[in-house]
Amino acid sequence: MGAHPQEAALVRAAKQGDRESFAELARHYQGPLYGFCYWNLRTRQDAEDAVQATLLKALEYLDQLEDDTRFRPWLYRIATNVCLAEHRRAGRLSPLPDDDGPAPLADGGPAPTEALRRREIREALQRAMGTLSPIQREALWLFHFEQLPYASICDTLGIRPATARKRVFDAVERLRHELQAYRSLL
Amino acid sequence: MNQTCRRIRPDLHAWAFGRLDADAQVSIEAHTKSCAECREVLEQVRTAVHFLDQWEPPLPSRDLTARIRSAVLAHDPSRRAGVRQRIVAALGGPWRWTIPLRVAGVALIVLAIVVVRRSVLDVPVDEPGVRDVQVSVGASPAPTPVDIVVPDQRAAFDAFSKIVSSRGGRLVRRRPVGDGLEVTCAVPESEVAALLKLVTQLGEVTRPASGYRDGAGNVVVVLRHSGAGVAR
Repeated sequence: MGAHPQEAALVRAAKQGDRESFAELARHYQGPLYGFCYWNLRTRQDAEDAVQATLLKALEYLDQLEDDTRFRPWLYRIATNVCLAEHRRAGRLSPLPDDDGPAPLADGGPAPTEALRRREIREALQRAMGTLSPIQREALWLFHFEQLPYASICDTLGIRPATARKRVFDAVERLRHELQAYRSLL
Repeated sequence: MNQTCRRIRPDLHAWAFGRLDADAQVSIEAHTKSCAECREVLEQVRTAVHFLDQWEPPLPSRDLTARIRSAVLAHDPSRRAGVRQRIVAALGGPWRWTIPLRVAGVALIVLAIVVVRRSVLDVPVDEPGVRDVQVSVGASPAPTPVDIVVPDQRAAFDAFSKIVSSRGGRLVRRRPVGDGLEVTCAVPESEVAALLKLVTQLGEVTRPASGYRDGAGNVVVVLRHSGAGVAR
């Protein structure tokens, strides 16, 4: 999801104390942030908590955002720090089971065999992701799911271009090796 | 894998992710046609991309939006601000009070250390928690304590404490010295001779009782144990 069309105006208003403006920004970004946090933390509850913590920190320190047009990368940077702090707190550097995947099948859902295949794919990816470090996962998310150029990845993560390229490269190399055993699922 | 393969590996990744510009793509395509290893790597990365494309998080809780909205509307940024920010805000300016606050903080710490040290030194030595207090005697020459070898250091210390009390004195400090226990006490000048006489009955005196006073005029005795009991 791209930036909110009226992002800068909303940020300016929020800086002046307009909570509704910030609530609109929060509504717009909570979905992408949830995906980012789930990708990093891998449980729904942790991801939801991280989204809320990120948005409240953003509100708290909004006056420190110098360029109102750069709210999005700034927000992801906060989310990155929140997720890393959660990793440090919980010591979740080892693979975790996907404990809360999509809801059970309902009428109109995919056929059982297709549902099984999707689950196997998800589990294979979860296992492979578990071999990535938190910083590799973040870089890969920004590169692939957010489709950010390297310059923006650097901006978001506060790292140098060469570091961003290396993190993405290492993450892809790792996934390439880890997922070969599951090619038949595709 | 040759040098070319190593060099173009990042571009292979970018190609598989659809992030390679057209010019570079032509060059990479030409290489992969003649390099089976890079073709295989390309396929493996494409497999990884397929997996990633099928990834999706579980749906968030239905009330997440409402929960975040109410948290945002109810949030009081000043309440969660750091202590320093709150103090600075309360004092009316970001820099005006920074230096005085830091100076005051350092002064408070120094004062606390002084108070703690003084209070420790003023506490009678037999109170719980007071152990191994060392006091500098400044430029005064170090005392040569009365040195007594006792069969049971703990019992000797208890007996010594009673002797000091009976002569109207008080224990000032004690500290381990080698295998002995150095005990310092303050007694009235008129009682010093009687004290020394009684003390020498605790065990075998191995050092003459001369120069046994510290810079403050306190009597210093070392109870050097020859048995198992150690007063700590």
